[in-house]
Amino acid sequence: MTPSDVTLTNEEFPTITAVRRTGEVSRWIVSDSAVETCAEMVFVHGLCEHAFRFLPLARRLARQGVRVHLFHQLGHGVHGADVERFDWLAQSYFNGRRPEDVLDDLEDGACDGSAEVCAGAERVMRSLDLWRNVERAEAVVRAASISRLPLFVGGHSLGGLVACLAAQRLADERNAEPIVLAGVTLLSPGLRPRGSPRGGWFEQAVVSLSWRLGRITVLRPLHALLSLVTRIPVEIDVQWASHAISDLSNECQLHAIDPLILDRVPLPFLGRIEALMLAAQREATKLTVAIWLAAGESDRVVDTRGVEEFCHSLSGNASAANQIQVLSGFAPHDPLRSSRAEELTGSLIDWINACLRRSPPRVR
Amino acid sequence: MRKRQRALWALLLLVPAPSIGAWVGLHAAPGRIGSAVWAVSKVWLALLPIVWWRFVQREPIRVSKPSRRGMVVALVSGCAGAACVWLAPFMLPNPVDPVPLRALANEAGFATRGNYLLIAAYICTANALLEEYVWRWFTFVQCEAVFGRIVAVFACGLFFTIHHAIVLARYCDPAMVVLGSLGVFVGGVTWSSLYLRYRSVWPGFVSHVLVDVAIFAVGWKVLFS
Repeated sequence: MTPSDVTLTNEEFPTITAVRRTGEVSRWIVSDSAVETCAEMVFVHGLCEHAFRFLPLARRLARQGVRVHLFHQLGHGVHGADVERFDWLAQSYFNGRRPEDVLDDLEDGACDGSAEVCAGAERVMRSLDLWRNVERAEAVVRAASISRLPLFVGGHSLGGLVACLAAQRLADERNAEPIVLAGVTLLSPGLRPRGSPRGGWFEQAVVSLSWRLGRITVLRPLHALLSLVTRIPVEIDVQWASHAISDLSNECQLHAIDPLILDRVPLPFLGRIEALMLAAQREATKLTVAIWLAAGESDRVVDTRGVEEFCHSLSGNASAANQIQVLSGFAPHDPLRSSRAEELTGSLIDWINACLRRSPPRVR
Repeated sequence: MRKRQRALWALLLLVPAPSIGAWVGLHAAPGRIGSAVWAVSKVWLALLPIVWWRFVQREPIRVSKPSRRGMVVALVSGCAGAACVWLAPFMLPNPVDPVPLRALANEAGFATRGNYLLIAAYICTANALLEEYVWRWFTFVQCEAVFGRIVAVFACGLFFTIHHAIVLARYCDPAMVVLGSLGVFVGGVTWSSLYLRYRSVWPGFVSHVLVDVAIFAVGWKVLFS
């Protein structure tokens, strides 16, 4: 049975709605009927998270005339027959102005089935080719491009990496139908791996060595041998990330108890993420669109040196529209759910407006 | 199986492996498949000699001890090779242009100091030892059985050069490929001669390391100074 489309409404901003559209990729579309839509943005969530986490950002952007498309990455969130099961959670994130509001709903809400949904997602993760998530992002961008409005693609953490690769592939001239994006939004993008804080120096050294080997062409055989370690089918506990997500205790608590946030990840999946990171770094020079990037210098989830390497590769794309912010001494992995959320959201909206001034709507 | 025939089989199984690995990894299918094939070829290269020696030739495994005279000759030949490498840029009619070298380093992924030191450390130690073990010990002994002593020195140098030329062809123009391959061939012949003379991989290894260190020192000077 195909789930039907569903519309969520917001009491505070009644003109803003979130519509769940089923199709090739089931996605949520957030827009404000009171504002003329001037751009489309596809935003991809991060590792172990789900699309609903970005409904508040989508709501904020919708008020500025940006129609936002969100989808669950494969191996995350809810799919298929389960897709309707957590609409209450979507509604909660869509309404919630503060994390406390969502926390209240979570305490009242029925979380039945979350364990099996998460177990199912983890099963998918074990053998998932991550490029399928890049293809999903591309498919959503292509679907959004029908409006002929300027297009943005963005993402947080792993979603930033997926967005980056999708942007590189969409712009590829070898592509049958290349799409010119107005900009790419990267929030704490995962561009270089980091071992868990509990892993100690040995894990950090192995992760760092593997990364360097993977980047040096003639040492790739050694990298391939080292990466055999990541084929071991063990589950890695990632609950520690809840404490690294924000500097606000309620946000950390919300991340910890959200029924759709995964707390274990198969090691082979993490290994495949590194391969994607290497691809994104290699292809960075091909990214010629304007970029907005925000990341905490002391992020404990992703290694911010990856951002530096990525920006170094972007040097050929010294667009005046690029806005790269590596926040000194700042640790939260999700800056838009931190004490600096307002400032950064404002910066993002200003950047989108600047890009729109440069990139008028595409005419048929 | 006769000794000569057996040695020929060993050469047929070993010599193409690194070339296939490098060709698939760098030219035919760069990416995951290429890296995997290249990795398999490295493992093959590392394991085949010892497995063949022990289980096909049924010979005992012995680690040779370096002789004093062998090490002196190794130091002299290594220093001479290193001096040639070090002085070569000064003998060119025009100074070395760092721009194409930096572009090459960028493409090959060792444009940062950390990555450069990592690749240098690997090439000068583990890779040099692996090459001496594969090409000067095992391949030389098999070539000797097939071609005789003198031809074996040159055959070994030639086999050692093929996969290096494939790697060079990925990054350099044809003139540099020829020049680089010639350098590799001279090195291969020199170290095979050392093996022939002293029947130990250690003199070749020491000489090889000195030359590799000089190559990376020149590279460092051009890229980072």
